[in-house]
Amino acid sequence: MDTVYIEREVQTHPRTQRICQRYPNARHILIERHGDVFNARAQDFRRQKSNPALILAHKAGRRVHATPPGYHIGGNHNYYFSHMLNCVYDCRYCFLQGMYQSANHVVYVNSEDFMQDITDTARQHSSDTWFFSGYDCDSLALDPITHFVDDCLDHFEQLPRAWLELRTKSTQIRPLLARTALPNVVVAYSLSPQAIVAAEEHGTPSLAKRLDALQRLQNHGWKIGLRFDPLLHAENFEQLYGELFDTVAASLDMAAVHSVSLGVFRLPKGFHKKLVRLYPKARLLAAPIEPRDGMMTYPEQIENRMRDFCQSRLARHIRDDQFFPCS
Amino acid sequence: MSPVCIITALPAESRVFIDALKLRHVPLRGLRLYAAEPYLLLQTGLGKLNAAAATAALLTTRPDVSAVINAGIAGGTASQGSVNLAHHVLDVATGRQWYPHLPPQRTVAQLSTHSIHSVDKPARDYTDGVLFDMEAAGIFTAASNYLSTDAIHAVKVVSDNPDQELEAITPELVTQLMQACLPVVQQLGDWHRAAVQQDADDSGLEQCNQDIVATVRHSVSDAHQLRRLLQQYHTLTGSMPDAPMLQQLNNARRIRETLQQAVQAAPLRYDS
Repeated sequence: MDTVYIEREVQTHPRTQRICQRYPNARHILIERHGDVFNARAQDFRRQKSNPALILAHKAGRRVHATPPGYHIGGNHNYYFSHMLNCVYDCRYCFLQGMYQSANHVVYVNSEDFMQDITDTARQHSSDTWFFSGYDCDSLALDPITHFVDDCLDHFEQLPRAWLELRTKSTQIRPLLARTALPNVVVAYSLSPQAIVAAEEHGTPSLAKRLDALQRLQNHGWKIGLRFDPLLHAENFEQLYGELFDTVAASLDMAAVHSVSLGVFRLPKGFHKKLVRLYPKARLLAAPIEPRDGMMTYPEQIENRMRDFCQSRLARHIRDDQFFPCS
Repeated sequence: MSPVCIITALPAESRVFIDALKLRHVPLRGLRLYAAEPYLLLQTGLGKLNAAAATAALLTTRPDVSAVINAGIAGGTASQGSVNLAHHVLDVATGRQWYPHLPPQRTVAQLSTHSIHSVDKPARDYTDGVLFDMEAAGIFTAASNYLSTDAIHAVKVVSDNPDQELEAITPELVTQLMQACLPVVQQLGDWHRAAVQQDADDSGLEQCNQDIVATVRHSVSDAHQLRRLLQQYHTLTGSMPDAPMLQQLNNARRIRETLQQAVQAAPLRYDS
């Protein structure tokens, strides 16, 4: 990253200064509000993706949000938070491309406010509360810059009734391996067949590297989660995903896996339209999909076939209580 | 090839580009326009209003322009002759502002960046980090209706500062100072062309689309759907459909249905 925008409000924040020190040769540009850069109209997401800037900002307003219905792994109270906006990876199916005007990365440096809001939210409930990170970003990919994981884990260590899911494709697991595993944290990896990783998940670690990271985390005592979402349809779908599930099962202690979820490729209609405009030649977006319940997804018959195959194949390796289909 | 348009205000700012890029005058709707592949140069006259009006007229007439680069002189605290790229453009009169997406530093040789404040009259209250000009905001106002802000840039050479007064600026000095802008403008132009070329080579698809629309009546919506289906077909199969066969169907809906069936039947495989 060779351009860093800095909100005036966080100019002297210790995290801002630490991050800026990592980029001494970058252009450091002072701005009033990150929305002036990030939300401006008429930006070219695709062009920015090849050369994204970093925006250091203060997150005001609501920092913890209820998850959409169906987004859970067994908990009754589910929330998500985003200490970053946008992702360093370039997955062709990613909804962030449809959601944001800009491909720049926003990092909210006031993580202490996020942690306070998490505590306040957890205290509203008498039973366990889940907090999902990695909804609008990858939880670990920029951790060497943000140090978010350490900040977050220090906090969740004090909140035993609050559960944290760190969703990622990244192999930046050094901070997790450097400390004792916490019982209320799940490190969840998005997994796809290697052929799909190579074709559609640009810039991400290979399947083998993700499995290696999962193995090391599991050996270190961390609870791990497996997220097969989105499932992409292909002529050789059964071969691709059958081999994927078998490879994963051969690599990990499946009985100790905390949770497994899967979901078929789906995008809100407006996001899909924007993605097609951005990437008209993307194979994934050229394949037949159709509108259903406000989403663009595969025809129902194909979706059912994909779900049935995956569920029955996964059932060879996991218990029912480990499985959470996404709707 | 989609041209990159250099936009200047004054003849003295244009001269260096016209000479170096061998640009020739092109008559177009009263605009002062020069051209030679792969550049256009538009000379707008002084001030935001002239700049906005000429930019809008050009981009309406030439939708193939892929990027615009405003090049010119500006006042500031930096040394006379220093070249700067705008990271922020502010219309002082209205408060409207833009943050052009900056190219990688290696593309423009570590060029320094400034905030450009477009004023209605020449200004002398020089401030660190700010350059005064009179056109950039007009160009951004007009061009951002046609192009993404990633394809609009301003490159300014410092002509006046607290030590070198505004009154001392002559056309000869401006032409001399603008020499330093030339390599930066060319580097930006190369960067834009490289990005545009990644998306090029749709000629076969366009031809097929035009052949069908020329012979079979299509509404705007029909034509839009046809183009997307042709794109899907081409992406999935690597070839174009049989245009004469589709033309024989002689009906936009039947053509669409035929293409939809072909797209549904097209194999999509992921192989290691």
